[in-house]
Amino acid sequence: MNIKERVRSLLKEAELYKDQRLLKEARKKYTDVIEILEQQSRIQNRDALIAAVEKKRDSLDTAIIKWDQSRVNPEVSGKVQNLIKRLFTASEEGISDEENGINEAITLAKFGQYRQALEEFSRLVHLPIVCASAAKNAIKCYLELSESDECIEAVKGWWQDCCFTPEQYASITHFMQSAFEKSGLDLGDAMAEPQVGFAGGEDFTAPIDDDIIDITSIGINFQSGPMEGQHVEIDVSFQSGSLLSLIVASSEKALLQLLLKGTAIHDVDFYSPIAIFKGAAVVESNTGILSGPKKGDFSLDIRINSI
Amino acid sequence: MGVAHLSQRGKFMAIFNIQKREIECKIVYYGPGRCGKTTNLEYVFKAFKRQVTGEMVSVDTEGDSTLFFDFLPMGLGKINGCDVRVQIFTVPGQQKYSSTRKLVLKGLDGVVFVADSLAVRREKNLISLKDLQQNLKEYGQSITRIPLVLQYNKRDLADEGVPIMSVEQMERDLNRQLKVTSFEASATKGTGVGKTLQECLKLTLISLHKELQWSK
Ligand SMILES: Nc1nc2c(ncn2[C@@H]2O[C@H](COP(=O)(O)OP(=O)(O)OP(=O)(O)O)[C@@H](O)[C@H]2O)c(=O)[nH]1
Ligand SMILES: [Mg+2]
Repeated sequence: MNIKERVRSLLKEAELYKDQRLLKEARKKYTDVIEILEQQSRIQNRDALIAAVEKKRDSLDTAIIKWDQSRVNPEVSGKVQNLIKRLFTASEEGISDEENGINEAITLAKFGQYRQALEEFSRLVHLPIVCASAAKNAIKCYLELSESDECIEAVKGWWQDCCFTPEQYASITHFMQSAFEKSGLDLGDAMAEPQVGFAGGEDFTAPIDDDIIDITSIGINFQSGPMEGQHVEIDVSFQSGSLLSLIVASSEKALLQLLLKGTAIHDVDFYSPIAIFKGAAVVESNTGILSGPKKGDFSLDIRINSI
Repeated sequence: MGVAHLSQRGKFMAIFNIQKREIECKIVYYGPGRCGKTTNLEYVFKAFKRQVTGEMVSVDTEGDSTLFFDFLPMGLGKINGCDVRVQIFTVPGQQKYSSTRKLVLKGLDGVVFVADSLAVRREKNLISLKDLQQNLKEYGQSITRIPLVLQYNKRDLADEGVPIMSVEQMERDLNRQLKVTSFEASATKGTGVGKTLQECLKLTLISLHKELQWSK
């Protein structure tokens, strides 16, 4: 291929990549052309040609910079936000509208829609059964939006509006403290001292969903009782944040007797694709399955208390 | 309790409502940025009007790269006495959208991996396939077990005089271990697009049929 043909074909390639918005690939081809031309002293109007290609390359550079700087999670329209909520919130049976509201707002936050998520959490804070979870998630959103002062004001306001019990308030300010620390901020004594003592390490039973890793199965080590010394592994069939659903065959009578609703399980291995974690959990429900392929077996929901 | 326990959209399970005899599964188009995932779906939207049950929604950027996802709802009618609905998504392929990509992948039942035939995109194909494997693993799924088909897209560019990879090379690069069905395609022209999706749907439904033991 002579030089002219080679240049022509490289330019054609560059244009095609540009059309497909393969900007870096296009840039590379323009650079190749410039290098070839620079080595040719005999081509007429060589400098003008080089300048023309450089101009094309410069405009690509502008586009590349613009692309690199574009935001990963820009706020999208309300219509799209509603679609995101609908498509990406796990539909769970038997949960309240309020809890569903929390789950939907968490979905929005995961897609970086912090402003809208915050609006929804701020509304949910006024509903007693989800107030603590709403407040903690709202705090995270405020920090994502770099609005720590507004965060402090909001939490104080909610407390004054009697949204929380003193215990909840203590737990929320404790959460806030560590969330601020994680963001490299000092909360200082901005929050009024809670009126009640707060035992550290309190369980976050709220669905602070995205902190919980995916658990594929669990292993229970029985330290006492009729199954003392035994280790039982059960697959997780469904997970929503810290709530794990398991299916136990009806034939496992002894096991089912030990895992009645409300039972605390102290020594649990949580198996995730990344690692095994030790922790504790509590049985939230234990119900017989009435229809479908697993009819007769039992569906257990267990809540991770600590991990 | 009308919905079997297995029915909930957990990490990787189709929604199966036994009482209503409805099944809803999720297919995801995966692949490197600009390989033609959105173009595939646009073609499906136009060419399979009878199966399409709603609008196609694209959440994209100014430069028309996918930002969050494209979404297309389809209905396949009754299969084995069950009404089968399909949600099709494309992920954003560009590197910088890795966290959204992972969110969109969650709960999938089948994957179409679209690879770019352009020689300059060879490495990006490999990285993206690896990324798919890793993300599936983090959801407790395995790329060797999930219903998967490969598509070698942009075959039409062979006529444009730009360097594209041979199918043999792409097979060696991407399919040596997986050994799944692969298709040549041109999403802009529409060739191979329907076949790719049909094969993926077929594999997905076979797999769900086994898993959910759904029958008449
Ligand atoms: N010639 C040709 N161009 C194609 C083909 N498929 C897609 N393109 C072009 O490739 C570019 C990218 O296509 P998209 O469908 O937006 O790619 P994508 O995979 O959705 O990209 P991301 O959303 O960034 O991940 C567009 O300019 C398309 O017109 C094809 O089969 N042949
Ligand atoms: Mg796209």
